[in-house]
Amino acid sequence: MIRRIPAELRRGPTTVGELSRKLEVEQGALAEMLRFMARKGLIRALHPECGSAGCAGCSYAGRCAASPVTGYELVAGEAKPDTGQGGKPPDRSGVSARRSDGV
Amino acid sequence: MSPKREIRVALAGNPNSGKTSIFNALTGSHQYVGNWPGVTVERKEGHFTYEGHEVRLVDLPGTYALDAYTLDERVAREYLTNENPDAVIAVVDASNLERNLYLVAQLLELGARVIVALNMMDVAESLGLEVDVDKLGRLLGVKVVPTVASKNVGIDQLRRVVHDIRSDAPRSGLRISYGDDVESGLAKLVEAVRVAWPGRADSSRWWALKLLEGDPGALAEMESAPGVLRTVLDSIRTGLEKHVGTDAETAVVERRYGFLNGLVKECTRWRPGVGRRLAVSEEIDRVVTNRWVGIPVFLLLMWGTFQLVFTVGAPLSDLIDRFFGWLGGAAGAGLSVLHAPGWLVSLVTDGLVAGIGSVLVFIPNIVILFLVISLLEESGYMARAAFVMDRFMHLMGLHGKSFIPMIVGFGCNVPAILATRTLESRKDRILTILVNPLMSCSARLPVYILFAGAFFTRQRGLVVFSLYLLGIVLAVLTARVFKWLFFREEVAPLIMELPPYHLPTLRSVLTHMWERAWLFVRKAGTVIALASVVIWLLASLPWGVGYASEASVIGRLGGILAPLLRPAGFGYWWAAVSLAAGVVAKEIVVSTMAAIHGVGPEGLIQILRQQFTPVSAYAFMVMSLVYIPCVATIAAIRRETNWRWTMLAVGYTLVLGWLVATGVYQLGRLLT
Repeated sequence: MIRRIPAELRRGPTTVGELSRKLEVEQGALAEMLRFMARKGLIRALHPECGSAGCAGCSYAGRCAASPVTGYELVAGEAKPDTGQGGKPPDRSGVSARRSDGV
Repeated sequence: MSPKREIRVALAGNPNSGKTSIFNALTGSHQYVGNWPGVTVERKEGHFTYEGHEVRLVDLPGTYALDAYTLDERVAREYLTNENPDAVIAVVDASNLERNLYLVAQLLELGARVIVALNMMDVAESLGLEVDVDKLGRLLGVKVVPTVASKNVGIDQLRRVVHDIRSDAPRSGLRISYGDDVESGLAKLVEAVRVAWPGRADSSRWWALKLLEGDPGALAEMESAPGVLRTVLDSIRTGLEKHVGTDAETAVVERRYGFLNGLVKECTRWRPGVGRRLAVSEEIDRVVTNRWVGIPVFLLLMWGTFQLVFTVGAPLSDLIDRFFGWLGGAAGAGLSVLHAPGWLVSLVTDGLVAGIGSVLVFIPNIVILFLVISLLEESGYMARAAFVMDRFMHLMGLHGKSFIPMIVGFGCNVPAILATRTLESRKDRILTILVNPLMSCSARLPVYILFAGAFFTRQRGLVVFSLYLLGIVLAVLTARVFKWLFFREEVAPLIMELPPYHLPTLRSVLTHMWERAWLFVRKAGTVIALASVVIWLLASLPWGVGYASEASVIGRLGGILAPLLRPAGFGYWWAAVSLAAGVVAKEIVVSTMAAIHGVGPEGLIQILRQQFTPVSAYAFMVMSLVYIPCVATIAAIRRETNWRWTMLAVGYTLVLGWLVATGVYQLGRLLT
C-alpha cells in the first residue's frame, strides 16, 4: 500500500481524500502513512508557515500556523518511474521526525 | 480478582480520540496533575472504586504509535515497558478505525492486556458506519466496549471490564503475520533478542520488531547489548531489503497497515440502503476540488466577492466621501477665519484632506473584502482554493510548493515573499519571488475601485475580478518564461491534506477585519499623509506658479514621463506622476491624483471621466496591477535574493506592465 503511493503521486496533484478513495484506505490512516513516508525521506512535508520572525503587517498574521494546510511532494529520487524494485532506503540523516500535529 | 487489590491501568489513544473524555468520565474529580519524570509532558492520574476495588488510572500522552520518534511516544512507551500496568485501555475513535487501531496493534504486539474503548460510536453511526464489535474483539483477542464518552455511554460497562481483568490473565496473543520473508528473519532476530536480553523473553518479538523497524529507542538500547545482536540484525536487514525490495521498516509498517485494512473491512460495513455516506467535508470537496469544476467554483466565489465589495461597500464609501468633503470645506473655512496664509489652507485642503480622504474612502470595500476572505479561510475553503490553484499551476509546469506564497500575495506581497522561505530550493524560491508581485495585493484595490466605479458602473465587480484573474494568468505565464530561461527542472507532484470544514467564529472574523482596517488607517495616517504633503509641495513649487500646473516641479517631472505612457492611452503628466508616486505604496496612486487636483473622490471621478475612456481606464488599472512593486516589496525581494534578481523584478514588471497596458489600449481601440 505504502509503495503504491509514489506511483499515484506521479499521476499529478491530489488530496488525501481523493487518494484514500483510490487506495481504499481510511483518510486518517493514509495521513499517518504519509507522515511515515516523510519521516523516511520518501516524500517531503511542506508546511505553510512563512518562517518569518514576526507577523507584523501580514494579513495572515498568526493564521497560517493556526490552521495548517499540510502538503507533501515526492523527493527528487522518487520522481522516477516505479520499477517495483525498491532499492536502498534513502539517507535518513537530517530527516526531521516532527509530526505536523506539532508534536 | 482478589478483594481490595489495586488495579493499575494505563489509558492510551490517538490525539482527538476522546481519551480525555474517557479519563474524566471514569475518574470524575479524583484526578492529580503532575509531570512525567525528567520531561515537561503533563502526567494525569486518577482513580475510581468499583465494587470495592481501587483502580488507578494513568493517562498516557496521546500518540499514533509506540515508536520512539517523539517525546510523547517515548514517555508512553517507557511507562508501558517499565511499569508494566495490569491493563491498558486503548481509546479508539470508531469513525477512524484504521488509524486508531495501529496503536492498538502495537500495544498488543508489546504484550499488554488491552481493553478497547470503542469511542465516538455516535459519530461513526452518523456517517452510516456499522462496527461489528464482537467480531472486532474476537479477531484482536480483546474485550471491546462501545462508548460515547461525551454522553457517558458505556462508561459503566468499561469500569466493569476493567474490574474483571485478572492480573494473572495471559498477555495478548495477537501475532500479525508479516509474510514469510519478514517472518523468517524475525524468528532469527527473536532468538538473538532472547539471548541478548534474557529479561525480555516475554516481549522478545516486540523488541525484535522494533529493531527491525530501526526504532531509535531500541537501537540505542542495543548499544549496551552483546555485539552479536547487531551482527544478526544487520545481516537480516540487508537480506530483507534485497529480498523484499524495500527497507525493513517500510515492509513491516506496510504489512501492519495491510493487516489493519483487512481487519477493518472484516468488521465494518456501511449501513444497507445508505451506502457509504460521505462526511460533509468530503461531499463538498468532491465539488470544490474537482478537476473540472474546482476552478470555475473558485472563480465564481472570487467574482461574488467583488460584487459584494461594491454593492455593500459603495453606500458606506459615499458616506465617508461626504464626511471628507465636509471636513475639507470646514477646515478651509476655519483656517480662513483664523487668517491662515493661503499656502496653509491649500496644504490642508488640497494636500492632506484630499489625499488622505481619497484613500480612506475605500475602507468599507477593504473591510468587506477581508470579511469575505476571512470567512473563506475560517471555513476551510481557502485550503481548497490553494489546491485548485496548485493543480492549475502544476499543469503549467510550475512548482506546487509556491501555492502558499501566491495566496498570501492577495493580502500583501511583502509577507508573501517572506513565505517563500519555506521552499527548500533556491531556484523555486527565486521563481516564486519574481512572479509574486503580479498577485494583486489589497493596496491596489483603491485604484481599481476608483476607476471601475467611474467607468464600469454595472460591471465594476466583474472588472476588478478580471484584474485579479489577469494577475494570476500573468504570474503563471511569466513563471513559465523564467523557468524556461533560468530554472529548467522537473516539477514534483503534490498531495495535500485538507483541514475539515467548520463554521467560522464571529470573534475571529471580526478580529481579522479589524486588524486589516487598522493597518489601512495607520498607513493612511503615516505614509499616505507624508506622501500627500510631498506631492503638495512639489505641486506648489516653484513659489508663484499655479498649483499643480504643468509649470510646477511635479508638472515638469510628469511631462518627461507622460509621452512614454501615450501609447497606453493615459499620457497625462499627472497620471505619470501618480504611477511614479505609487512605487512608494500603491494606495498613493489615488491620493496623488486627489492631491494634484485638490479634490475628493467624487471630484476625481468627474476629472477622470473627462480625461479617460473606458479602454484607457482599464489600461491604467492593468498598469497599476503589473508595473514596479512597491518599495516595501522591493526591499523584501532584495533581502531574500540579491540586487541582480531585485533589478530583474523591477525591470520586467515595468516593461510587462507597459506592454500589457499598451496592448489592452491598442486592441481596445481597434475593437470599439
